[in-house]
Amino acid sequence: MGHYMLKRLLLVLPTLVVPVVLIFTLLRLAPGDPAVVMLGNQATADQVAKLRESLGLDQPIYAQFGDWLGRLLHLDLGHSIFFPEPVLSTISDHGTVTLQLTLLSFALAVVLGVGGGMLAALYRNRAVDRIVMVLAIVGVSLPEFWFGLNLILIFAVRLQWFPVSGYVPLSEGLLPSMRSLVLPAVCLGMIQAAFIARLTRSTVLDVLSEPFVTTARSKGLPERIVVFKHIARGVLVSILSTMGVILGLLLSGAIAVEVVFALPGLGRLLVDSVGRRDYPVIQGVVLITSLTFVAVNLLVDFLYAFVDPRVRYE
Amino acid sequence: MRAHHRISHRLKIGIGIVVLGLISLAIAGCSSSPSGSGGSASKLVVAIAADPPTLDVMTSTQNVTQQIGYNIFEGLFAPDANFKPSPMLVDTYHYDEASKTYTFKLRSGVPFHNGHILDSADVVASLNRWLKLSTYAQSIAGDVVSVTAADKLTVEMKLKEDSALVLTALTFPNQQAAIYPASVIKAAGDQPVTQFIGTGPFKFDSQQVGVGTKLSSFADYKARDDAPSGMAGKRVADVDQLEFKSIPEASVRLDNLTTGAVQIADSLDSDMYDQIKSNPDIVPTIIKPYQWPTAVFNKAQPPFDDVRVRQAFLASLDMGQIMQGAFSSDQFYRLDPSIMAVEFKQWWSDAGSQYYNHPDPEHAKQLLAESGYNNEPIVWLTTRDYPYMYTIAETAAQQLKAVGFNIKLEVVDFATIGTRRAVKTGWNIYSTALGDTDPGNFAYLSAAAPGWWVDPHKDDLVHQLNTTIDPAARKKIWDEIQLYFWQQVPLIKFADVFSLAATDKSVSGYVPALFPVYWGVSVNG
Repeated sequence: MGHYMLKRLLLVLPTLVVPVVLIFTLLRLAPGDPAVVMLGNQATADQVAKLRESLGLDQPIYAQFGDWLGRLLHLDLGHSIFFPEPVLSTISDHGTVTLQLTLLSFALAVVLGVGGGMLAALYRNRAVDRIVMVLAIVGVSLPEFWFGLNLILIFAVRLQWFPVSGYVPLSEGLLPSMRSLVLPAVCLGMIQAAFIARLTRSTVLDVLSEPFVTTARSKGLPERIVVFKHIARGVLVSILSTMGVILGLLLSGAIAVEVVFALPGLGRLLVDSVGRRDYPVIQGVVLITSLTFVAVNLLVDFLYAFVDPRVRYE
Repeated sequence: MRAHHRISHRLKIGIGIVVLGLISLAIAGCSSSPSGSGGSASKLVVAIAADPPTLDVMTSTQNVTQQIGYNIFEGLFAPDANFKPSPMLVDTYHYDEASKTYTFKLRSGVPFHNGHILDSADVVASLNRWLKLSTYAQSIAGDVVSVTAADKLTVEMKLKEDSALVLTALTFPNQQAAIYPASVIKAAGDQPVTQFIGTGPFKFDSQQVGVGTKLSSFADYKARDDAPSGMAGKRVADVDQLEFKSIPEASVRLDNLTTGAVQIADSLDSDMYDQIKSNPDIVPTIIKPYQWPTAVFNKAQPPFDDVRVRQAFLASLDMGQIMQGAFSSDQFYRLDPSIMAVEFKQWWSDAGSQYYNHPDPEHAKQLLAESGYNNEPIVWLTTRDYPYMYTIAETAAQQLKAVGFNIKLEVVDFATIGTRRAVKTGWNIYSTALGDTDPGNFAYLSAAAPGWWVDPHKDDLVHQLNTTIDPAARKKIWDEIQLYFWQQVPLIKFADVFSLAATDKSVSGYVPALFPVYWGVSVNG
């Protein structure tokens, strides 16, 4: 187990190198230039050249990369080209919002998805099953952008239950903060819940026909115990294996959701920074999200052993 | 029911409650009161499309930086309702032709937001930084010999030769010649300033990237006495707090206005006009003038190095049809050959109107044949970042193909156009949008601007325009330049286009303008 964990931890580094090198290189090779964006339509070539020089963009790519890596070793992601603050601080501010949104969406997706999927399986071929599966198919087909705008129209504009957009920081109170995230979390979480519901249903149906379920029932165990102890545990392993993927989907889905709901999260920061060609911020966001993605998948791998005693690491 | 499907009744209810409970928790746990915070009469919230990357108005060309900055910073001059220079921090001024020197006498006792009182050292430091860093200042920077303090409240600007552009450049609201305290400039150097201290009616409070910017009224603001006109004259902060919320989606900005969370929504889509008009609680406002979309030719490369190909391009275009495709209503565009919008009354001209919007495909084909153009691909860089630019390019391309142009649209983001246009190869046309308050600031008349209109006759006319002081004489020269523009076709003007904003009905005093300001705006009830 210890050997396996060490091996996996060592593999994290090369896993991170690929996206980081790719994003660094592609950004420099792609047309578009922060100096041009900063100076606007009427800037002369001379002004652009001077600004590029002051930003270090006239250096060869390898020199820029070396400089960035050197800073990275000191946990310094550099400074935003546009905003007067370190990238790490910008990411930290925006990361809080994305973390809150992702966790809320994740909880919603898991509870609704697992609950709905189990209901559908336990009531197989009955009305509940059909309703849940129709909702699931609709859910996985919904574009976040469209779904979000409609949520705003119904729950914020017509019913006025929630704010249309924007984020209330936790420092202004838990309830106002959560209230500002309900619609974005529903938008993001419902779509993933649909995916989890479909997966849960098929897994539960498989587990229901397993001999250990028949054995449990034949022993006269209450149905509550059979479902929550035996069936749910079997389902959990399958669900857990997809959690890493779901987190990735949530992070990518957060980009559209944060733009629609004007949330100052990492997704919106990334979109805005790409438009501005704010290289240090883009690199920083990609690095941090890659790191998060890798860390969650690593955690999921380690959790297998705790959930399923049959799993052994070598 | 088979045994393994037998579920206890309590369990069924339990699972159902978990699922339904979460949905109801999300809803029931929340207040049913309307969202937003726009109820206070002393607070005005404006929904804008993006975050300002900086509030250093002197160096940034971003509209949103200016839109917020106007309220914080002031310059020596400000444009009046007719876009003419009008004194702001200047009390009196005069120009001495013999010594080619402007003398600016400053108003006394004008406080900055940090308590410091404006003096000539602040103006000298600010103008020297502006001349060095502002793109727009380059229209006069080469002519300025020095900016010096004659005494505590007098500043002198010495020129190499007479220039008609000094006052318009000092007045122009983008990358404006704002006056900062000398101490702020000393601290920042050539880097963007990080202390946003001005003399304006609102002072900077806080900014959160992705959320917005908060200003509050400046209690010690020293207003001018003359009547308000455009951005000039007396400025009064009628609200205690002024907040700009950055909301990227136009429909969400409108939704925020509809629910009362904001009182003004900026940069809305023109096709939202009817929706806004049908809502009795909000008022649509069309901002005129705004910009004019253009196609800029690469005159350093064939085929557009040949004037006949450019003339053929112009003769191919039905501007009315093109603009109908780009906007849902003709309220948002105006077909007009004048490079300066009609709202700039002193500059409007119909010179060259015989060339504008007179589609003649046969004449276009003849010109193309004479030029020797042989169906070579023409790369047109356009963008969906501004949807009307793409739609205009797409419709125009259809008309041009019918005449014989082999147009290849390359759709990229606006930043990419900015980079690719700087290189003389790899493109033939690019889309952008322009708008200036004085033709002397019109960068595309310069041979150095991407597109490279190298023409000694034009350069001579532009030099005359910029060194002639008499307004009537300047207008005559400008008419001549505009006629030459339509004959030489260095770029295409499609039409004037307008922008849509909307306000809550409780807002009064808001004037829709190219350079929107929020002093004099109040929220009732």
